[in-house]
Amino acid sequence: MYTEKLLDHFKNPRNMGRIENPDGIGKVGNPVCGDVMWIYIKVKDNKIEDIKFETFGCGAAIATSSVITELAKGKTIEEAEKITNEDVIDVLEGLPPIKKHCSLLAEQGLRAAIEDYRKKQDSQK
Amino acid sequence: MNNLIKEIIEIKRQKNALILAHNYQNSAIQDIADFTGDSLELAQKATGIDSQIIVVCGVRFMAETVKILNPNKKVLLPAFNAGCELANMANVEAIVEMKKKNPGAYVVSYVNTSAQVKAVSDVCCTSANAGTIVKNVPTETIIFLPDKNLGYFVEKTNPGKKLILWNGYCPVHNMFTIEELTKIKQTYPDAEILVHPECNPEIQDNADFILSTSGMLKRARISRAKTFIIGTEEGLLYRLKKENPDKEFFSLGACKICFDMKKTAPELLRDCLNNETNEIVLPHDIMGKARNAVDAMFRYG
Repeated sequence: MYTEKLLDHFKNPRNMGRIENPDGIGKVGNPVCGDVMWIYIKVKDNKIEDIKFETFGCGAAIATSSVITELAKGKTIEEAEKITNEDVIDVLEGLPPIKKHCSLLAEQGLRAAIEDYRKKQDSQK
Repeated sequence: MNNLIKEIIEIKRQKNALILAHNYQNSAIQDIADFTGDSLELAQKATGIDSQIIVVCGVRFMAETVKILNPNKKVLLPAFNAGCELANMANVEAIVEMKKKNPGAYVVSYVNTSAQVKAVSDVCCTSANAGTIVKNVPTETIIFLPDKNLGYFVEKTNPGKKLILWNGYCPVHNMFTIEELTKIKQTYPDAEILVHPECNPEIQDNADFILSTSGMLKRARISRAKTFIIGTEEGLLYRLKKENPDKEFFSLGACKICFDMKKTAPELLRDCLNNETNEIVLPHDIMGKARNAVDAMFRYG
């Protein structure tokens, strides 16, 4: 069911952890399976300088979070916003149909973190 | 909130610990926990959280499974003598003997087994994915352990496979009777009947759905039924009611309690967390082999 790539990201998740005083936090959940994901971002000169995640979810949810942080790191906010769940699935070389929602959660988590960052920027203006 | 619970939450915060509770734990423990779930769910989910200390409110095999999936973290079990009667029914020597008699047969073992049993198994399974695993493993003959009732369920859905069953069972789930089921069906004729595959075949054959605990939680959320009869350990009813306040849940029979699961008293949890005692330590080679069986489950599941 899971590709070797996915198992690797599950066993050795990249960028797992928290960022102290992040510029944006995205918290999203999946009400059906009860998964919860937090994405923390640090932004400098409009670029995602650092990104970390914590996910309370199944192997697929952890792997998709890990991948999306790798994809977003170093990108500009505008570029990061365009990352979709399909990009995540491509990196993982496939995802079982019943686990597709996990990749959507990752996409939503990143977008929520960016949204939170923008809100914080606006409130400082 | 009483002082003891406040104290536990404060120690947890200071140590950045993660508290996991099985769905069958006492309600007070479920409320303190960061997350509740079934055993494999908790073990998997712990790997994505940045805490070096994980406290498992459950029984031994669950804490072992968390350790197998999180080998670099400190895993603590507050109720250190909490075992699982079903897991204790399987022993390594007998499995090795069975393997000799059935060369080439895959050994599929339920997550409710010790790390040592997992280490001599080819693939692990849960009540949620047992059928798929059996279908996907390459051999026709499969040694399936330790729960014969789960084996019955899996065999029924996989007619092409030959299962060599182990004579094990969960004493709590095996206790439900057809008399209890008939009686409660008369009392609540519109209720949906959800039972665990560890229940005996007669109960399974007369239920609407045969589901793992996480499957029951999902079903209760999406079903249009307003009343449910639940055939599993009573602790799950607390979470079902909490998550679905507009629906009614009844236990299929009285006093279906797993006493090992109720050993986690809040005082034990506090002391264990505070002193970082009751740590799960497993031999390196056992952990590696058991991990292979769990990884194989992700491949075949």
